[in-house]
Formats: sequence, structure tokens, C-alpha cells
Amino acid sequence: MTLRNRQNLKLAAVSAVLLALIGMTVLAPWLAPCDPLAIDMSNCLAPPGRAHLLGTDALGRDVLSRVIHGGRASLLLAAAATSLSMCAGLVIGIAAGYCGGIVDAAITGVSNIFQGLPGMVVMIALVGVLGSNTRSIILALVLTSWVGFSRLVRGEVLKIKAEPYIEGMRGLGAGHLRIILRHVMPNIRTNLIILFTTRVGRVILSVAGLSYLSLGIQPPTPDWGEMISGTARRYFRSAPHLLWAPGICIILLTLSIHVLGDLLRDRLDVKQDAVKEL
Amino acid sequence: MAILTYTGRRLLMLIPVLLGISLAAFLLGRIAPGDPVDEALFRIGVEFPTEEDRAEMRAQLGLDRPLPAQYLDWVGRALRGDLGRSYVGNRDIARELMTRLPITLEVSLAALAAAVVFGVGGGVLMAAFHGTWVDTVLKALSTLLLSVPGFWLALFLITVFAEQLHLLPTSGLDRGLASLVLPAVALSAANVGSTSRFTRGNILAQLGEQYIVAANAKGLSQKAVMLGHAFRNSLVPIITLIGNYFGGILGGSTIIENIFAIPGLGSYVLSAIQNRDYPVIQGYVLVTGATFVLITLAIDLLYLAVNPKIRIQGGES
Amino acid sequence: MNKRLGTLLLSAACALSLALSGCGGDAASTPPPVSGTDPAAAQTPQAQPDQTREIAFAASRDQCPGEQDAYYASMSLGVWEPLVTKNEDGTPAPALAERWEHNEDATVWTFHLREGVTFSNGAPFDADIVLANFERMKKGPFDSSFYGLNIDTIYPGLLSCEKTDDFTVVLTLAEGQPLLDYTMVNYGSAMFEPSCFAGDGSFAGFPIGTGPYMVKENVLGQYCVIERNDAYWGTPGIAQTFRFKVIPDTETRYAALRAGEVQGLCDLGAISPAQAAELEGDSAYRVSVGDSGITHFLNVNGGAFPFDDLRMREGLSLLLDRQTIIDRFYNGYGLAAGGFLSYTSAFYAEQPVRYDPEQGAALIRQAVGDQPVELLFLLPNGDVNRYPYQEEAEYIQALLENIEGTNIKVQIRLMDWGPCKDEMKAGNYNMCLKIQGLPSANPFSLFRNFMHTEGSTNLNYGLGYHNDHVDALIEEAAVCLDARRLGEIYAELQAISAEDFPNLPVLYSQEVVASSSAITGYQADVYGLTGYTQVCWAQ
Repeated sequence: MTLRNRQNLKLAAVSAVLLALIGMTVLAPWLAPCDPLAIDMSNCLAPPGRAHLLGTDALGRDVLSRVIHGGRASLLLAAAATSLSMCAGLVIGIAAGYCGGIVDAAITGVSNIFQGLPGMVVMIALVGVLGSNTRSIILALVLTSWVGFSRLVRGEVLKIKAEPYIEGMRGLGAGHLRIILRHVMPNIRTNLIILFTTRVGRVILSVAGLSYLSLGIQPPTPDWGEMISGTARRYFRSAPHLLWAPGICIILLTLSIHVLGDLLRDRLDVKQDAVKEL
Repeated sequence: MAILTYTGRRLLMLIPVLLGISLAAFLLGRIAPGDPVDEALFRIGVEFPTEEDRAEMRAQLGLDRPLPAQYLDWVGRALRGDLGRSYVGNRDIARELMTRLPITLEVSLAALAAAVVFGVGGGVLMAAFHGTWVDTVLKALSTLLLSVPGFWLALFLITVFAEQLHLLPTSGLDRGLASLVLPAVALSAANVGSTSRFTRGNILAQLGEQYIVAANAKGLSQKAVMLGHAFRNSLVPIITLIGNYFGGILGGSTIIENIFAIPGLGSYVLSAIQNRDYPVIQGYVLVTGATFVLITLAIDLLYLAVNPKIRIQGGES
Repeated sequence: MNKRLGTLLLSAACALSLALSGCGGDAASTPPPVSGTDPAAAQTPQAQPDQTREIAFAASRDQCPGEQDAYYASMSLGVWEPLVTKNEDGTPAPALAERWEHNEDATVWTFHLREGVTFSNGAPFDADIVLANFERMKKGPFDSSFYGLNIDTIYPGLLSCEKTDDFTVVLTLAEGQPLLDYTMVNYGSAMFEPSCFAGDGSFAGFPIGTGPYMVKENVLGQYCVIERNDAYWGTPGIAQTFRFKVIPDTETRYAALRAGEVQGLCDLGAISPAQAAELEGDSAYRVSVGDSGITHFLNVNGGAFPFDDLRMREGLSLLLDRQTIIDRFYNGYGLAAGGFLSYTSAFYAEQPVRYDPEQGAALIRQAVGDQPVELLFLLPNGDVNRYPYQEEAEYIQALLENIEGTNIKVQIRLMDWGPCKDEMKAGNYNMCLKIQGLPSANPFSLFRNFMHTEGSTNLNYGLGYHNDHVDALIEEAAVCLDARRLGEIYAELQAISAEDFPNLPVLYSQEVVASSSAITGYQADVYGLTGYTQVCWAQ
């Protein structure tokens, strides 16, 4: 019981941090003291002080306001890209597992190919070639991460399909769609949720990695990943205040997502190896 | 016998996968909008290309033929070990990749070693001190490692260990093993995090199994139980997991190689992407893809050799 | 509405304060073209330090790009030397050619070679060597990471290259080239010992030149080592060996300097302005600022609305507070640019730098009115990594978006140079920041490429610039045989560039390099004959 209580406490704490971060980004326009885009060339690289609690950046913009706004782009992007990969993985995985035969063989073959491609490079190449806009970043993310979802889904579907009661349902004349919706989906839900959280964390870091190559979220949109790894990293010695706050935010975000994933795993009693690390 | 059939089937399945990777590699180099011809001309000093110049260069680069023909031609030559010449610098790509592959493999192996030493070591420690503060601290640390952006960690490591403490070189490869430490640690950080958590979970799960209870009943000390049984039994899935990381490390070295000035595959493909050096991008994806697939296969077979009891089913490992 | 007014007031106040501070700081913030201590004075220590110890430098790219490069090594290493080099004012100066003259219509050029020069392998330098080098050039064109080598560009219409005696070479051209010696400066007339060439004109092994240093070791992508040539014909180097490491990442490069792994940072973008500012206060390091032929341009799409309107181009130029850009983002390294041609060119004619935000805003208002305008601002990645382009672009974005009475939106997009160029060529952009170097001491090709209606850069960058008078001037220059008249044409073109804006010059770059105080004599002198000969261990 105490273990359960401790877990509940942890879950509450992590959810609070996550909600706070998400709340901050959602309410950013009302929370931020200044316009995150308003430049003030007479007050560049000011250290933290009373006028600007976290100082100003190279263009004299208020760092605090930029940090408050900074989660929007990456959170939205990560959520959108991961949801899309999940949907794609779901459809493809169910198709493969449920249909079996040639469809399964073809899909397995294709996913083997995608797994053989170096993810980060495909991402950099695609974004570099197609131009760094939200659309191509999402495309690159989906292309490099649908396989994880589809493999998971396929495996689970195969397991469920082998259950005798499904045969029975079929015999009773239940439609495929009904079986998928009523019996397959509920069984893979928990694993999907966990994989989803892990992926979101990864994706946020990948997009920050793209920013290191100037291929991430485009300026002047304030973004944590961009603020720590874009051109601002040049100031990490001379004006470290530019990097600390967004860095802490991004670490806090991914950290809480990871811990949440862990707790869910424990809580929903999922076997460790069911969700292989991607 | 089953093992032989299984191996044979896996090898056969390799062919379509490799072909698929080659197709993807080829297309990756072709989806770019725009034309490498003008750039190639500019690089040799032709500032005012006429249509004739362009046509000639296009023919010289083999870009004037239909796409399927280009693909077949490319694959055919790739099979013979010829990946063409780079647009930038006119170098033999296959040779360039082969001189760089060992460097990347070296760094990747060092990263893998770091993942094993710190990951498995940390996991065992956590399991051994399960429930104490050591477990809590290490667990927090491993989760933190999963959450720190790789280049940030790299920058931090360089500042502390090279610039402040002068213990290790900032970059390059000219100091032997010492040069490998920082890139390996930066590259493996996330994997150290997940390996240690995975190891811990596995050992703890094993500790719950029946026969451990039996071993305890025989009067062995608890530590011996852990090392003797639980660890050995959980080693196999851990090996597979670490093997899986190899692909990620191989592909993830792009940014790390650039930061640490390591002339491996990653930094090569990065500059190729920036210069739109199609043949290099294609060659890179082909070589890394093939390396990864082969290594995965090798690990699967190794896994099989270590643990023949495993059920061989489907193409799934 | 309120917020908009606020930002406007804020930027107005900001502009005012900057204008005020700019007045006082102008003289002080313009560094002299060459600074740093005199190397000759610094090299007479009482107890000689051990100069056989290797000195290490770091750069973002290979200083010896190797056998497939037209020159194998950067000229600054001092491995090879050209026939013609240049003075500080950009005019041609003797190197391996002691003097030269040409006939009236500049079709026949006679070069008198320096006698007593030997290559690092002992072979003597004479007219036969020059002929062999021309033969090799004809096998080109050759690719290079410095400047591509194409004999048709450097020696247009070359009919023959003959020797009249062992130390005299005569070049005969189909058409007069009164500025041939300008085009030949440095990379245009590199001389190698022919035995180091492979059959196809690339290098077979290390290059052999007449310079003060020789390549001793070269691992592409990692480092190269050069060693002093003790038999050098001129003033030899002091330090015995140099190692040039390749460290692409600016932060790592800087950390390597601070960690003492390298003694200096060299080549383009050696150190970022923010890092240089940090080192300036530190006596353990020395920052040297020197001339650079590089100009930062704001290229605009003159073929499409709104930059097809001169008022828009002029308005934006007036709006730009160039000195603030230089002071805030470049740590003061650079000169506000008024005209098209770099201040280091021998043909430079100074153009007024005008800053008048009110008039600029008024012009832009006239040009676009209050209709919604969306502008696409491209930034090439390579330059974003080297220069504070992102900050600069965001500043320009803010300037444009805050013009009262207009409704301009600017979208910034970072791209690799390849795709970026495609977008520009296709005209799918409005602005793009890009550097432009001086490919040769003769600015003709620059003028032609950027300003002629059919100019390659004009077309490739989608500048859409067209001016009949400019076309006529450039066509006149192409066949002009009178060097004085050419100078007049170049001056007029610059004057036109400052008023008609084929693109917007922002600033003339200055080369910033850094070294630790363990060594002395290292200066930001990009391509000069002295190279690293003055660089040595300090006391």
C-alpha cells in the first residue's frame, strides 16, 4: 500500500510539473511580461535584473518572455508529429497483424528497410533538402518513427488474434472493424500510451538537435530548443543567462515525460520488454 | 538444423531489405529540388554556363538519363564497390567512406563500451542497493541522462574536462584512447540512461523468480545470488538491447562528430548534405544502412548461439 | 494597437539613443585597417625560445584540401608562391615575377622572373617551370575550396605562352586585357614544381613550391603539418613546424584555444565576435583584426514586388543602422558599407553611408502603402554558423515590421546554401544575407556578375537588376584597353550601386583571428606572402 501511495505522490508531482509547463506555454500571451519579439537594441545582452528578470538576448529581447513562449513550438510539433506517427503506425500495424499473409510480409519488409536507415541522417537530409519548415520537420519525424509504433501494434495484434475468443467472435459474425475497435484497441492502449510519452521526449530532443544545425524551428519564433542550441550557444560563456532558463525548461519537460512514462509502466503493470526502447 | 534454416532464411531476407535501403538511399539523393549541375560547373570555375556546358556536365554526372536507369546503374556499380565520385573535391566516395567507416565504428564501439560499463554497471548497482538512497540517486541520474540534449552534454564535457581540467583533448583523434572518451560519453549518454534502467528492472524481475528463492534456501549470500543467477539470466536481453542501440549510435554520431571534429561518416554526410553532394549522401545511407542491418543480424545470431532454447518463430527476433 | 505603438516607441527610442551613441563612438569604433604589434619588433628576444617546438592552429576547414584541389594548400601556408601578389592597397606587386610590361593594346605581356629562386626540392625556378604550369592549367578547370582554377577565366583568350630566355615569359592574348596582372594576383598565378603534378593535372603527393614552408604531413579532415624550408630564397620562417587542425565547430575550436591545445585560430570565421570580445580583456590571448575582402550583402529580389521598386530598396538601405549592426553584433569589427566594391580593392571609391530611418520609412510607405506584404528572408546556414546573421536578420525583420502605416510581415528561413540558391534563382524570395569575397584583384567579373542584366550572379541570385547605363558601362569595360578609363568606369559603377542598389551592401568585413600569447607575430593578414614566417613562440 505504501508503495502505491508513494507512486501516487510521484505521479501527482510529475503531472504537476508537466501541467505547469504546458499551462505556461498555453497561457504564455497572458503570463509573459513583455512581447517576446520586441527588440531593443539599446539594451542588448543585459544580465538578469529588475527590468528583465532573466536579462535580455543579443537583440535586447526579454529572455523571460521568450522562455514562457518557448515551449509552444516544440510541444506542438512533438505532439503533432508523434500523434501522426502513432496513427500511421496504428493503421499499418493493424493492417499487417490483422491481414497477415502478403500484406504482413510486405509491411514487415518495408519496416525492416526503414529500421535500417539511420534516423537522424534521414531527418537532417529531408529537412535540409525540403527546407526547414514545420511541414518537413513533421514529415521527417513521422517517416523516422512510425516503424516503432507499427511493430508494437503488429505484435500485439498477432497475440490477440491468436486468442481463441476472437475466432469465436468471427464465427458469430462480428465484423473486422468491430473486432479491431472493441477488442484489439483496448488491449494495445496502455503500451501505445507509454510508447507515445517516450517518443514525445525523444522528439523534443531531436528537434533541438536540428536547431543545432539551424534546421529546427525558424527564428524569430521563441523556442527552447532553438534558444539553447541555435545561434545563442555562441553566448554560453559571455552571457550564460541566455541558456540556463530554456535549458532547464527543456530538461524538466523531457525529464517529467520520462518519469511519467515510467510511472505509467509501473502503474499499468506492463512488462518491461513489451515496450522495447526505440 | 532449425538454426541453419533460420540463418538461411534471415540471410535471404537480407536481400530485399538491402535493395530497399539502396532504393531509399538513391531516392534521398534525388528528391532535392534544383540542379547540382550549375554548382558542379561553378566549382570548376565556369561562371557563365551555357546550355551546352550544362548538358555536357549533366551527361558527365550521369544525370541526363531516366531515373530507373540511373538507379540500376548506380546499384550495379555499388555492387562492384564503386559509389562514384563526390561532386565536391572529386574524390572516390567508396574509398572515402571506407577510410571514415573505421573511425565512426571506433567511436561507436567506444560509446557502446561506455553504455555497457556505465549502463550495466549502474543497473547492477541500482539493483544491489535496491530501495536505498543509492538506487534513488542513480535512478534519478539515469533519467536525467535521458533528458539532456546530446550537444549540450558535449559542450559541458568539453568545457569541464578539456578546458578547465586539461584532462582530455577537446577534439580530434590524435591523442588515441583519450580522444575517444568525451565523444563516447556524449554519444552514449541517453543509452547509458536506458540501459541502466533496463538492467535494474531485469535483475529485479529475475530476483522475484522462483529459483532465486531456491538458491536463497541453499544458503548462499544474497550478493552471490544476485551475481550468480539474476545477472547472468538478465544478460541476454541486455545484450540485445545494447545491440539495438548500435544503429542509433551509428546514425546519431552526426552532430557529435561535428562538435568533436571527428572525421567519421557523420561529419562527412553532414557537409555533403549542406553542399548537396548527392552521391555522397547516397553512398553514406547505403553503407550505414547495410552496416546496421548486418550488425543486427550478427547480434540476433549471436543471441541464438548464446541461448539456443529460444523459440525460432517468423522473421521476428 | 497599443502594443504596436509601444514597440514603435521603443524602437524609435532605441534608434535615437543609438544614433546619439553612434555620433560619439564613431571614430573610436572604427578600427584601423591593420592593428597588432609589429612582428619585426617582437622577434628579438634575449633568450631564444625553442622554435623547433610545433605550433598548432585550428580552422574550420582543411588548410590543405589535398591532391584534388587546384592548389593543394591554402596560399597563407606559404607552401607555394604566385608570380604576382598584391600590395596593401590591392594593386599588383612582384612575387616570383620581378617586373612585367605589356604592349599598347595589352595583348602581349612580358614577365621577367626572379632569378636565384629554388623549389623546396632544390629544383631551380625558371621560364620552363612557368610554361609547365601553364600547360597544367590548360588541363583544368580545377576545383578548389579557395578559388576555382579556370585558365579561361584568369587568362581569357590566351593564345600562347612562350619563353624568350630562361627568365622571361611572354603571354599573348587574343584580346587586350589591360588588368591581366590584377587577375593574376595570388591564386591566379600559383607556381609549382611540375614533378608534383599527376597526369591529369591534379597533384601526385605533396605539392612542391618555392615558399618558406613545405607540406610534411596531411590527413584530410584532421590536420596537416608544414615544416620550414631552410633553403627558402627570401626571409625564412622562424618556427620550424606548424600543425593546422580542422575543428568545424566554433565552440570546440574556441575551447581548444583556451585549453592550450592550439596556439591560434585561423581562416575565415576563425572566432565569433562574442568570443573575440571575451578574449580582448584577457592578457593570455591576442585578438588581431585585419583587412578582409569580404563584403556582407543584403541581396534583394529586384524582379518582384516590392523590391522591384527603387524606393523600397533605397528605403530599406536608409532604415539600416549599419554602425549599430557592426557594434552590437560584430563587436565593432567591420566598416559600414556604402557601395558595392570592398574597401580593400584597389579600385575602391568610397560611397556615402546614409542612415535616415524617417526618410527610409517614408519611402517604403510610398512603395507598399498599407497593403499586407509578406517578405521571405533567406539565410544560408553556412554563413549563419560563421556570422551573427540570425541576429542581423531578426533586427532587419523588426525594422520592417514596425514601419508605421505599413503592414509588412517578414518570415525568416534558414537553409543550406544549395536549396537557398535554388530558391533565389527561381525568384522565390525577397531578401537574403550573403557574403561575397574578391575572387581577383580585378573587380570586373564582380561588376559583370552582379550588375549586368545577363550577369551570372544577377541571374543566379534572382536579383532581377536591370539598368541600361550599367550594361553599357560593363560592355565598354569588357573591351576597354585603357586602364585609366577602366578605373573611371569602376568608380561610376560604384556610385551607381550606392544609389540604384542592385543589392544592399551592409558592411565590409574585417578578418578577426586570435592567438594565445605563447606565440607572437600572428596577424589577421589573409593572403600575403609573409604567411606564417613571422609566427613563432614568444618568451
